[in-house]
Amino acid sequence: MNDKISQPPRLAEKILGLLYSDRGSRTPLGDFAEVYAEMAAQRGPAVAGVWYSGQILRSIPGFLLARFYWSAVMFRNYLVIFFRNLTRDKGTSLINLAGLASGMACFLLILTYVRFETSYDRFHPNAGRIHRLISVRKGMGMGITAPDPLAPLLKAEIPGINRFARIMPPFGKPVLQAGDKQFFQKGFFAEAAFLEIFSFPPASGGHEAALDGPSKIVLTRATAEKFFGKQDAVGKTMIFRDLDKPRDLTVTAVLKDVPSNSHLKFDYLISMDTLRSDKGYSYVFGHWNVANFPTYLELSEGASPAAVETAISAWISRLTAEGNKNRPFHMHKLQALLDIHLKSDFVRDYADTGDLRSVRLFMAIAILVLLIACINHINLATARSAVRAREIGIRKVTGAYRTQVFQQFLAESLAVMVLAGGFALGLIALILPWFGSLVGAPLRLNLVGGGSVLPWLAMTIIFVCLGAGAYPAAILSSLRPVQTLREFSAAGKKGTLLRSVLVVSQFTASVVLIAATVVVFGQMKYVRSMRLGYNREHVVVIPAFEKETDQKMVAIKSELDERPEVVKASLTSGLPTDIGQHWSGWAAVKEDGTKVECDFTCDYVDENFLDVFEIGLAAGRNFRPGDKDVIILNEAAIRDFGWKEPVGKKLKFGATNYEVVGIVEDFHFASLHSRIAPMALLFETGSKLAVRVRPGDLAKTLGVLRSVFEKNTHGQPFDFFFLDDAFNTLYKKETRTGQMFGAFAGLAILIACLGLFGLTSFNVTRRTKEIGVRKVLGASVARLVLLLNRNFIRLVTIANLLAWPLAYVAMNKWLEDFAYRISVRPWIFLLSSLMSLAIAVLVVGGQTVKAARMNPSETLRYE
Amino acid sequence: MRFLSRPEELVLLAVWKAKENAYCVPIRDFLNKITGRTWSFGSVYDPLNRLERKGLLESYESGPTRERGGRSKRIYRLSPAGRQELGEIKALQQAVWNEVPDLSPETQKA
Repeated sequence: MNDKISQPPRLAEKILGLLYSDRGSRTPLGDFAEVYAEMAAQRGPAVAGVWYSGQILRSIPGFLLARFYWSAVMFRNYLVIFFRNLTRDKGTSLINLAGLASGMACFLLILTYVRFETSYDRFHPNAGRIHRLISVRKGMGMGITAPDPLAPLLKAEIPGINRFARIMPPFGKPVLQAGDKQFFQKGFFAEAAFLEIFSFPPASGGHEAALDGPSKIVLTRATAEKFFGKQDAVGKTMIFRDLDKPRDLTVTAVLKDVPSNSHLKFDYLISMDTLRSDKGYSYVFGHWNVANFPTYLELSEGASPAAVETAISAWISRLTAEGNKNRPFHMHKLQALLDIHLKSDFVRDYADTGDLRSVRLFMAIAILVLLIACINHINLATARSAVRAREIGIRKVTGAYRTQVFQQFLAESLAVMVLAGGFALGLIALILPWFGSLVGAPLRLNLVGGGSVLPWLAMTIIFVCLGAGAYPAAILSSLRPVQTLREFSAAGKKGTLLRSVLVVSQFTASVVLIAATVVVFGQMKYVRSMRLGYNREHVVVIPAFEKETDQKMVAIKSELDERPEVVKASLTSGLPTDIGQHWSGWAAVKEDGTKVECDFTCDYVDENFLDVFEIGLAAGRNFRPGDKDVIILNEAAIRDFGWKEPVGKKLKFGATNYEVVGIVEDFHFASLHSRIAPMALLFETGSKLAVRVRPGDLAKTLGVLRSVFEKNTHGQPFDFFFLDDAFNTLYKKETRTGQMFGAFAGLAILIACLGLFGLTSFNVTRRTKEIGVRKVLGASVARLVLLLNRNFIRLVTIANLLAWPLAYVAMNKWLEDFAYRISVRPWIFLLSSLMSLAIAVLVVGGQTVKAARMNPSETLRYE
Repeated sequence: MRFLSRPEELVLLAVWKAKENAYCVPIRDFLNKITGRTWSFGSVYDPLNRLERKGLLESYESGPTRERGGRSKRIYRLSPAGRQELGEIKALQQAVWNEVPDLSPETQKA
């Protein structure tokens, strides 16, 4: 034989190997190869190739027969058995399905929410390179703004910074006007580089230089349509009115609408040059001590943010050490763009921020609910092994391998899961709109395309199937045919211990959730009912957003003061819910004689402020018309200084010496997450009109307010809010967390109860004869009920004992975040335990009592 | 004795004929030669497998060669029962065909 032996092509050999794979040996492939080699040597490789291909084709029918036909026959059998079992015990199947479906639906819902929350700002292709400059202010925490000269200097001094763009939120709530249409709109002043760094593509055409130069405005598509309808907005003029003078602007571009997962949300952008070229704004630009600009840096390709950050702090430290005047006051750090939505916790952030903790919390709940549903499935499936024992016995006797039985039951689980998954999709479609509004995210159910829910559903099903299907399948396939066919009871006992453990963990989770819900709602209630130090009821706030209106406010106020519907009106710049201007550099002398420089939270108010909000004076007096350079402090500030006789003391800010005239009782001017800080009220009228109205016909009162407002102004739309609502938005996150918590805790408990119900009804049915015999022998109904319930009462008790420490630790951790909080008291645990027990007794009790009261002659008749 | 199908009979005979080298390829070659038709591998494997299950053949794996792409052969040999079976078949055939004259067309013409 010649030395060169031709071998069949690899691919062909692979295919043939595949076709023969289920026929065990590899030798046939060798036989084919041998003949191929011989043929190739005698008649050429082409003929051999044709022959080989022919062999492949001829192997297919046999392969199909072996592979599919018999599988199909078995499959049909499995399917028939599956549906018989599914319909034989409709209740149990329904419970199983309902539990799994709602568990999956809940899991996928939360997953959709989490995916939305974590998708923020990822649509910018350079998202990883964009960072926001934040300032670290001594003693006052972090800020999100930087002074005007900082960014250009940083770019010149620090390597690795590619571009920068500043924005500035306008003051107040500006109005845009085009022709006779005017609306409140949200937007920013932005530099030209903003549109280069961020990807907000134009709706049509280009937008280069759209923000380059003064008096230019860029609209989003929705805003453009709102003002100009179908016409092309580019080139049109608009009027922008805020607390400053009205400005004429030209529309230079229309952008696509801002995606809902952008931390920057705006209807328009106005070129920063509009302000820069305005003399009235010269105090903002070019100064180190006015930090008004959120600043975004785009780093160069490959630059490390940490290195840039270190370089920035080294640079600032060096300038400070040198005593250079041309330097920032504060340290600056970088915040990654992708961290802004979930990891920001700044006062007065313009960004759309979420809460990483609640995202994690809900992910945990989602997994918990899914686990509880899985446990139901495991419990019901293993408990039913008694029913299936004979079938398994017969299968094994007629030659089934253990793996085949295992696969059969795994596949049955899969079928149940897929059914449940279908229901889950339906449920999600129903609940999603409600859920979206609950979490405040525009969630949508996508079946196809990017962000589709289907791969996740598939993953969930596979995960649940492996997690919850594998164990019962292993248990069932391990049954020995001899035992199952001879003695009936052997089968159901398998996995009893595991079932108990699982029931305990289900109920532990439920009790923890109940306790958590009680604590969350308790804290909410506490926050709402807490003595805040001011009265937030019956206060209507009308802010002025335009200069013209602002000038009329004094007139409106004095007119309202005369009205019978109005108790008192105050013109203030701060409300008790959001006093938040941080001023640093107050100089004072403490009681012990030491000179200190300190920070205060300040705001401007008028002499009616204390009356309108019903804030009490602890000492001294209120402001009087004509007062100059006077200040009112709160008790916290006095405590800080240690002053014994605070009235008459002096405080210096800049060139002004303020005299303390009064001390207000501490009131909560920020969220209850933080303790009351030192605060100062300065005497000057602000642009918000806060009106304390008499309780009664609110609609009529609002009508009066409106008519007075509109009589005095012409232009600004009448816009008002209740102080109550402003207060509630402070706790929106918590309220939302509380509501979602309640909903999902309820769901978890419901699913756990479904499982318990299924398990009990199954056990009771199995023990019908036993109960009958016991009754005949003289057992009382009470004894029987006790007998049937004893085991599960024990389980629920163990679950409670386990749940208490868990809930205690978890809830204390959650409450730590509140400066003012309820304590976790024993009654909370007792209550949740009682609730869980009551629910369990309700679920189980009915069935056991029914079973115990059955007439033994009925149950024993058939033997 | 058991009754074997014709292919089984032939394959059993082929195994005996191939002696030490009785694996699929030479068996198939022999069958192709004596019957004058092309046997597919499947039609050789099936009788081989059946005969082995009936206990008339024994098999073991051996001798990978280069022209087989380095795969081993499955070598068959007759079991004692197979040997006996083959003998009985021959005896039966001879007994049955003894009195029948040669019926093939060529010999009739001649």
